[in-house]
Amino acid sequence: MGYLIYLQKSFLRDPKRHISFFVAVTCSFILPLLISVYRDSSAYGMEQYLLDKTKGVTYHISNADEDDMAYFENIPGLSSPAFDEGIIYLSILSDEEWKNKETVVFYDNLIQKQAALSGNERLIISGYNYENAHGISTDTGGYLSAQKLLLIINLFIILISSFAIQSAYKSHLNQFSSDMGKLVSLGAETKHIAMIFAFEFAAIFCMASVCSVFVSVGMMKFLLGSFLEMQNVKELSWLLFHVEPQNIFLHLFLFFVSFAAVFFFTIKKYARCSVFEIIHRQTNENFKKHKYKRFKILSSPSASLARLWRQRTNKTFNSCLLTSVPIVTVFMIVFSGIMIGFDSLKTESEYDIRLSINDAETFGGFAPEDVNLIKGISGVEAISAEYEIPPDKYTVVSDDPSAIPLPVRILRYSDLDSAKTPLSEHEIAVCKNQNLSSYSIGDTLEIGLSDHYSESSGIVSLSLLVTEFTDAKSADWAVDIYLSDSFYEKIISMEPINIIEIKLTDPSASSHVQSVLQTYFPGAEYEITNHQETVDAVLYTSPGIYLLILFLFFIIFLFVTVILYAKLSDYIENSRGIIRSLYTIGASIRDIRLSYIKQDIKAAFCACVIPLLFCVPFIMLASDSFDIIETFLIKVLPFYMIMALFIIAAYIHPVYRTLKNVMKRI
Amino acid sequence: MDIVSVKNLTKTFTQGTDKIFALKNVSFSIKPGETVAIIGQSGSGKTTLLNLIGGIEKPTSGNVEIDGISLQSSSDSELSKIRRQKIGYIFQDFNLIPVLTAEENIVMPLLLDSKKINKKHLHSITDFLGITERMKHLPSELSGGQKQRVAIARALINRPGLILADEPTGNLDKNTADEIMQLLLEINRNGTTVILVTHEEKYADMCQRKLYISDGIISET
Repeated sequence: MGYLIYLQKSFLRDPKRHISFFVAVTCSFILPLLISVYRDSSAYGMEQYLLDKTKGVTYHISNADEDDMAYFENIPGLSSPAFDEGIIYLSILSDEEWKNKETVVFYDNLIQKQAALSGNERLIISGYNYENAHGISTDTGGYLSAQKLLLIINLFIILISSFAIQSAYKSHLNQFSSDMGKLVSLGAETKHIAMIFAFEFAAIFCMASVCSVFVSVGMMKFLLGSFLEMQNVKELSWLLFHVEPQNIFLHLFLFFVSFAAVFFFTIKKYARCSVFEIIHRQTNENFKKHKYKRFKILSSPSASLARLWRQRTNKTFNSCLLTSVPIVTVFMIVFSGIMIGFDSLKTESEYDIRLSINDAETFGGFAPEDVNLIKGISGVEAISAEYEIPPDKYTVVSDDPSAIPLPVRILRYSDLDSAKTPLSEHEIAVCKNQNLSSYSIGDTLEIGLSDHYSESSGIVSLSLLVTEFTDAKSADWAVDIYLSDSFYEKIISMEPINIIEIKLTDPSASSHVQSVLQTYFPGAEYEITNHQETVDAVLYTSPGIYLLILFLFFIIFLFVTVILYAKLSDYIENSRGIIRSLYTIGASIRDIRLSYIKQDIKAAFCACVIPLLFCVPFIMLASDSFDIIETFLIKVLPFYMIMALFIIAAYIHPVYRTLKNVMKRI
Repeated sequence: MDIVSVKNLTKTFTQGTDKIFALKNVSFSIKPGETVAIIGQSGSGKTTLLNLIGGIEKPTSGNVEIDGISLQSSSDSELSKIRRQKIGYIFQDFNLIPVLTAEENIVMPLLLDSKKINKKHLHSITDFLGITERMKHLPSELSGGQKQRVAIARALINRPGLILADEPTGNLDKNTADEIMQLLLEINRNGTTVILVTHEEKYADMCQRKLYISDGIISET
C-alpha cells in the first residue's frame, strides 16, 4: 500500500514526467501491433482466397456437362461428384491419402482415365493439394516469405524500441534518483525501491498495452474497412481485417520480456550505487573523466563553448541520435517501400487486358478469326498476339528414369541484361543453378517435351551446347536457358498463339471489353487478366495508404519527440549549474543560449541526414525492378524534407524552451 | 573616481501577496584599492547586495555604477563585458564547471572574451596560488581549498579591478580558510579592490572597511 501511496504522490508531484514515459511506451507498442494486425489480415485474406479458389476439394473438372458426372461416380476413395456451373467437384476422402503424393498421382491418373472415357475432350482437370484446399498457403517464395519478412521486421522494431525505451527509462529513473537516495538514506532496502518502480512499471505496461491494442486494432479496422480491404482482385493478394488474439498476446509478451529486462538491469545498476551517487546521479555524468582534448578558443564565445560542450557533454545528444536515427530510418525504409510498391502497382502496363489460353497444344491456339474478332470489339485500340512457352513444357532429359523431371524455362538471349557475344543456333547461356551444378561450358544439355505435351506438335527434343553461365536470377524449381533471338523466334513460329494482349482506347472501357471477351471465350481454358482492375483497386486503396503513413508518422514522431523532449530538457536542466557559473563569470545570455543551440543543431542535422544515408542505398537496391527515381524525387524526398523539419523542431524546441526557463531563473 | 557606487538601491521579492524587502534604499561607495567586508546574519541580504553589484541580479530601484558605468542602463552584452573585464567573482561553493579541468576553468573568461591565453600570466597566477601541479585535474579531483584557489585564479585571469567574494571561506576548514583570506589580502595589496561577504568577524576585521547589513538596511562602523 505504501508503494502505491508513494506512486500516487510522485505522479501528482510530476505528472508530466510519468505521462511522457507512458506515451513513449504506448507509441513503441503501436507500430509492431499495427504490423501484426496487417500480417493477420493478410494471412486471413490468403486463407479465404485459397478456400474460395479450391472450394475445399481436390479436383475441379471444368467445361463439364451434367452427363459427364456419371463417369466420376462411385470411384473408391473419392467423394461423390458435385456439379455447379459447368464444373464437377471431387475430393479425396482420406486426409492421409490426400497428403501423400503417391496416392494423389494414383487418383490423378484415375480421374484422367475417367475424363478420357467420357469422350468430352474439352474437360480440364485442376488438382489442389491438401494444404491449399484447407486455406494453407504453400507459396514459399511470395506469401510465406512476405509473412516471414513482416515477422522479422516486427522483431527488429521491438528490439529497437527496447533500446529506445531503455534510454527513456534510464532518464525517467534519473529524475527520481534523489527520491531514491533519500529513501535509501532513511533505511529503505534496494528491494523496497525496486518494488516501487516495479509497481509503476507494471501499471504503465498494463495501461500502455491496453491503449496500444485499442489504438492499433481500431486504426487497422478503420483503414482496412474503409480503404484497404482487398478481395476478388486477380493480381493482388486478398487482405481482410482479422486479428489473432494469440499474436497480440505474443507481441505483448515479447515487449514484456524485453522491458522487464530493461527494468531489471536499470534497477540493478542503482542497487550497486552508494546513496551519495544515487542522490547526485543527475549530475554524476558530468564528473566522469573525459578524454582530454585541446581547449581551443574560436572566433566567437558561442562557437568555442559549443565546441566544448560537444567534446565534454555530448552524451545526451549521442543517446538522442541512437534513439531517433534507427526509428526514423526504419520508418523511411518502410515508407519508401510502400511508395515504391504502390507506384509499381500503379505503373500502367503497356497493355490493359491479357487474354490467354491454357494448354494451347490441346485446345488449339487462337485462330486468325479470333484475333479479328477481338480487334473488332469497340474500345480496343491495338492487340499483340504471341506464343508464350509454358514453364512446364520442356524438361531436362535425364539418364536416370527415376529422376524427377526438371522444368526448363526458355528465354530470349537479348532479354538478358548481361548478354555478351551473340549466340548461334543450338548454343545457349544457362543461369547458374544448383540443379545444373554438374554441367560446365562445352557440355550438351538435352531438353525434351514433358509428358503432358508429348503428343503435341512442335519440337520434341533439342541438344543444346552450353556456352555461357549467367548470374541472372532464376527460379529454384526450374532451369533458365537463353537461346539466340533467331532460334527463339524459330521455335515460337512453330507454336500456336496462346496470348493476346489488348490495348484499349480508354482504360475505362476495360470492364466492357472484359465482359465481351467472356462472352466470346467462355471456356475454362481461357483466362482474362484485366490490369486496369489492379490499377483501379490500387487507386481505391490510396487514401488508406496515405492515412496509414500519416498515422505511422504521427505515432513515430510522437514517440521520438517525447523521448527527445525528456532527454534534452533534462540535459539543459542538469546544466543549470554550468550556465550559472558561465553567466557569473561574464558570459552573455545570448552566447550561452547560442552555444547550446549550436550543439543541438549539429545533432539535429545528423538526425536528419543519417536516416537518408541509410535509406538511399535501399532505394538504389529497389531500383533494379523499375524506375523509381521519380517516386523518390516527387514523394519520398519532399516527405522526408517535411519530416526533417519536424525532427529539427523536436531537437531544437526542448533545448530552446528549457534554456529560456533556466535563463529566467538564473 | 569610486570603483563602486551604490545609490538608493532597493530590491524586493514577492512571495504570494507579500512583498519582502531584501535591500531598502542602500547607498555607499568604495574607492579603488579598498578591502570592504559586508557582514550580516543569514538572510540579511548580503549575497543579494553582492549580486546586484556584480550585475547578476537587477535591482527593483536605484543604481550601481562600476568604474563610472551604470549597470542599470547597460545591455546584457555590456553587463557581461563588465563582469568579464572589470569584476572577478568568487563563490562559497566555487561555481567551477565540472566538465572542465582546473586550467580550462581558469581561462574560461578569456574564452568568453575571445582572447588568446597568456601562458606567462596564467603561470604567474597559478604559481602565486600554488595550484600549478593541479592544472590538468577536474574539479571533482581537487580538495575544497584547491577548488577555491582555482576559483580565485579564474577571478584574476582578466586582471579585474574589483573582486567580489561571496563567503569564500564558508565551505573550508579553518586553516584553509585562513590561507584563502591571506591570498585575498595579498591580491588587494597588488591594487585590486576586494569586497568580501562574510559572517565571520575575524575575517571582516582584516578588511579596511566593514558594512553591516540587517533587514536590508546597511550601516557602516
